[in-house]
Amino acid sequence: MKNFVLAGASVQGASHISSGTECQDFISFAIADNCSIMALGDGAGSARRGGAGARVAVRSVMEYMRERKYPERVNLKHMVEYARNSVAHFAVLDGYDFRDYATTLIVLISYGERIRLIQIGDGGVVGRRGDRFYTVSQPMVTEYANETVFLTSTSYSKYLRTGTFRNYDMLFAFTDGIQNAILERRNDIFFPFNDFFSTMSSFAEENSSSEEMSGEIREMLESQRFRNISSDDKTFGIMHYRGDS
Amino acid sequence: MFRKKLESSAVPLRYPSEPKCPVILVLDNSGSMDGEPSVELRKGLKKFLKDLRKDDLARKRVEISVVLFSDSAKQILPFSTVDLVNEDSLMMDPNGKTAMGEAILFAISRIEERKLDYSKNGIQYFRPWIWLMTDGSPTDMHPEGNEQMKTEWKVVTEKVHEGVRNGKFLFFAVGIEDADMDILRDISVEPPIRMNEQKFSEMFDWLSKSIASTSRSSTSEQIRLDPTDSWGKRVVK
Repeated sequence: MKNFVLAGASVQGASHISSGTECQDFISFAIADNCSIMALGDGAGSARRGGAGARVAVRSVMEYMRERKYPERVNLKHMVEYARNSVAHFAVLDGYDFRDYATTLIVLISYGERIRLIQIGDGGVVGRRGDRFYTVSQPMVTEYANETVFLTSTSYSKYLRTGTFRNYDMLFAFTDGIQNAILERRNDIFFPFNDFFSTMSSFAEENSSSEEMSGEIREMLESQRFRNISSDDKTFGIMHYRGDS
Repeated sequence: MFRKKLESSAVPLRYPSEPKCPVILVLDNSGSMDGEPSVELRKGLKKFLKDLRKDDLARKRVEISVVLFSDSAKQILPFSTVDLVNEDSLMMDPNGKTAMGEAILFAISRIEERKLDYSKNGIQYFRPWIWLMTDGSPTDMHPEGNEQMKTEWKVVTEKVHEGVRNGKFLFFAVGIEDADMDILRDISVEPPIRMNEQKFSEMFDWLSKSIASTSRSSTSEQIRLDPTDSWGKRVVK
């Protein structure tokens, strides 16, 4: 059996608390015998049902894997279409326009050595290989702070990023609410801010209770220090592969 | 068992800076604005700054610049967050002609400079706003003027249209009283708005709300602005 430890949390940003909006970020993760999966979405602040879009997209990805009994081979494009269709169905029942559910989506599936990834929109994924950190998937950004692509965008397939990676034993996924404080942008390339990720990887090495770790990540994201980063909702997740037993 | 807790105060972070939302007000300061219009405009402007200061996020994110135009264009306020603006320094002394073409090109250059500053310093930014207000007709450009005015007209309108279509900035034009709305309609991609009589205060109220809500947006495909009924009407053909 493969050993994984997963932890993460989404918290509401100050701007959504003051305007009474629900948290529009959502994260979920699960561990199976052969793999682990983490999915996160950031519902668009400007979209009326962005939070619901993030929840439905994330849950449908988890459901996709569960119903297929965590297959070794996943058609990632099919998985994204499934998530998109789930949001579209939900929109019909819920009674708003599809684009009111605008959300980003990041999915990580780790089979141990082999990692599959989906990303659409901003936020990003950093991986640890040896003692170094690399940007595995960088934010899909346009020139402006408030503009990105979404799962609900008509041109989503043009921007959809899917990939297979190897040999990252630890992965960190996050939404744009904290991205500026943990990545360094040089021109259009984002580099991990090493000090942050080495602190987080020690934290992950030294703990194994997903619940406690998630609680502490939540506390961290809710702290004044992290609130000062941005007034946006914030999500941070860790996926740690600890070998086979 | 000893367990190392995650202490948020000990987690190293980069020094993040708030993303900026640059707004440049391009205001007619020609002779015809003398008297009530310029007094009301200044009053509205003061209230506008006051309202933005009351909004915690807008205070950190919005950067205002003011350009006045009469015989030429002049930036009386470089891009500044609202806390740093001393409104008493925003003096208007209406006189002279209406160098609107020059003012628009000047504003576009200031916007591009500002964007470069942001990029150099790793600061993210929102799509800039150009907010043009006039009560007349340009004296330095016209589709039916002399050769020089025609050329200027072409350069200005092309630059605005290209900028708006390519998402370089948002451009809004507001006509006060006898403003030449046909001209504004040709310059602006969005229909210009004719301000109802002396509704400066209502207009600035709308503007501060719209800017504040833009600066709050984290990810938006499209900016949705409230209707302008409280202060003016969009003029479509």
